[in-house]
Amino acid sequence: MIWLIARREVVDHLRSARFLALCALAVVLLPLSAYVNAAGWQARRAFHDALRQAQLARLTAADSSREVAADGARAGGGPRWGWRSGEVSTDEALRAIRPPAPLSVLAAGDDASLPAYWQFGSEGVAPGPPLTSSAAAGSDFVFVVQVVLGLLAILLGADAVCGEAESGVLRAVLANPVPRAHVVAGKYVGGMITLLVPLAIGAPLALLVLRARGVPVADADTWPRALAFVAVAVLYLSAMLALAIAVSTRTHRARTALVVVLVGWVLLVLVVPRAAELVAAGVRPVEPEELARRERAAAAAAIEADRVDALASVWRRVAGTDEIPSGPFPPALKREYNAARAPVEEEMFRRKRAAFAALDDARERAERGRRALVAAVSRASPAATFALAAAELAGTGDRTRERWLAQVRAHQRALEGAAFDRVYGVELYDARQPGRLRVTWGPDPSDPADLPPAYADLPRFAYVAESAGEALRAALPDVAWLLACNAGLLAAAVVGFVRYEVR
Amino acid sequence: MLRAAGLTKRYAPSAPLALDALDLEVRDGELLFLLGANGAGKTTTLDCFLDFTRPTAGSAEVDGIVVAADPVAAKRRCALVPENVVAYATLTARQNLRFFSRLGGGDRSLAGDGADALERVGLPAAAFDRPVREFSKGMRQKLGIAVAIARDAPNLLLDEPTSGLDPAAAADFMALLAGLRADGRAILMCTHDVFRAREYADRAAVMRAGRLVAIVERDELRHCDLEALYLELMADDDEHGPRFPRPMSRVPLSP
Repeated sequence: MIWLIARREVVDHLRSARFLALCALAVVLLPLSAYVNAAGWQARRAFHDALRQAQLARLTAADSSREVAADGARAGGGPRWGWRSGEVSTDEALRAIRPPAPLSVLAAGDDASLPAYWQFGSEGVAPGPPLTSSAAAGSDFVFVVQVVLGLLAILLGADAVCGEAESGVLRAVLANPVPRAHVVAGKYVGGMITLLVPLAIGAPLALLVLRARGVPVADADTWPRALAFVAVAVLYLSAMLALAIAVSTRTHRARTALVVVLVGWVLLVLVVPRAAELVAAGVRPVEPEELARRERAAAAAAIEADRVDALASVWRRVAGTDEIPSGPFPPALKREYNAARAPVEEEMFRRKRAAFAALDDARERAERGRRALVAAVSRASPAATFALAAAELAGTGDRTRERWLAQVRAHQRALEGAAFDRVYGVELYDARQPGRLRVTWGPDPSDPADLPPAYADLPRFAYVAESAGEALRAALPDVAWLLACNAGLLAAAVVGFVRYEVR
Repeated sequence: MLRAAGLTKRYAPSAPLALDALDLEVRDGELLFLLGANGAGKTTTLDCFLDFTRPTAGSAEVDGIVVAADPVAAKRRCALVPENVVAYATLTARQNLRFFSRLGGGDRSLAGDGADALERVGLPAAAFDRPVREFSKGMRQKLGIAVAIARDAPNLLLDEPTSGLDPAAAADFMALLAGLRADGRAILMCTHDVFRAREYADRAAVMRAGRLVAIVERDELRHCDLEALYLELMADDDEHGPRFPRPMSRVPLSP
């Protein structure tokens, strides 16, 4: 019985002008958006490749890390690694470069707005420029499904019951011994089959375009994601269809139902995701990046002042005077001074890293809280839930951002231990001078212990992307929520129809 | 058999009763005409038998099955011909017949792929495979009758079924009904047509303002002036409200 009604619904829908118009639009837009987004992905990929090449060139140059570390000293400013508060490194060798996600062509997510790389340095990690391109990131597969097919879904369901009640055909249908739940189920299944038509035509066309443009969409890691992506799209569309059918069972006028579902569509697709951003910005504000940078600089400067005082005291204790020697630094005195200041430096680095970590963690917590609130409020809308799940599957969602940042921070800590948290050469401070006169001696090229490590001896950063299995597991809560939306809305439609008075 | 027992319906709390404790029975092999003005409650009565609306009180029964308790089982035993037959406009007559026949639980294969039923109601063969949107009201009505007949249900509910039919087709339809009655079917036909009632009905029931005001038995029908009685019943009102049910000792209400 359900199948009989579903089949008739499909025949009716396929002949309707609204279906033909929106199906044609979706079938054109899906491959077109794939083409445009593939161009954007290629541009980001080219930028990524250029960054990688520059990095490799830097890494393979002999002893280049020592040049970088020492050139500041040669210029009289001291080594670049160690204590240089407020300075951001630009060393191309020390960058965390992440390739753009291939499936960002389907769900752009954060892929284009994330930085092209993270820069490692003594003062912590800093974001590079965003991986923006000319691609119309807003017009991806998610957009077409959310807007065009979402609109088709609600239009197919809006007059499912009240339209037939208005025309009178519902009397003819319900005069037969068919359970009302079966009628609703038949309309739901029929609507879903109809909605699969533009997907079945448009999605393969889009994939063909992507393959032709060289986007790896068919490899072992990508195709399960793409398949799950289509499944989540179907769940979203079915939820919108069930919503429209539920609305249709609450009125006897097709026009009323149409207005209600169109308002609902605007709210769910356009308003809720933006309102979620507004709510989160109000409830969980995150301080601007510039303010965070200033806080870091202020914390570093305060510790720097303590360090200067401490090192001046150490020098006075070791040398028995505040006088700073001129000319070559006596080796014996250097060894004694370095040994005496080692615990001071260690303590100062510890304080500095702790202060930075506290600031970074607080900011990251605030950012994570804001994003979590955006996601939680957005999930009021099946459209936004679909976008969140799609981004997780495509590797362009919040988890990717957090995963990358976590790897970057871990690598930064490794570099701090291996290279950054040491002072190369000698720094002396004259306690008698206002502002503490600073005198430095660069690393001694004849003393290997005085030189910074070579790049070859430093840990290398390699981004470990989330596997398809992890991405699928990450999308499961959203999939479960979409299933629950379907079940709830379908139950509401059935209850509404069982109580429906046929006039 | 169709039976209404204390059937009451109020569509909204502030609305007047659409049906007011209606007691009515249509026996097997009986053709009962339900007469009444617009808004008398005739269609609401049919709606209660088809679970289109739930009664506020009382019950509608089809062959002993309470409709509100088991609407699907009840509807398995009755078919409807509405006043304005509406079918799927984009489907042909044959496709509509096939669809509704299967929806009614009928066999997948209709006799002659539906042609027999369509011929039986007088639909021209050239129209069998035309989309229903091209049909006149009379043709749609014939299609509706064909759909109901194809159901082969033991009870028939008809709501102004001859509306839109030309006189010859209406006469053919009444002859068809006579045959179905002879087969033992219980037929409840709502109509304004007192002349046909007098000619074809086994009994005629008159409703006004949701209440049953008279039942005229077969013998009485042949002898009384049904039109005059009907007009009298419709006009019978005074400042204290209608004096119904009208005492008609010769036309007792069914037990």
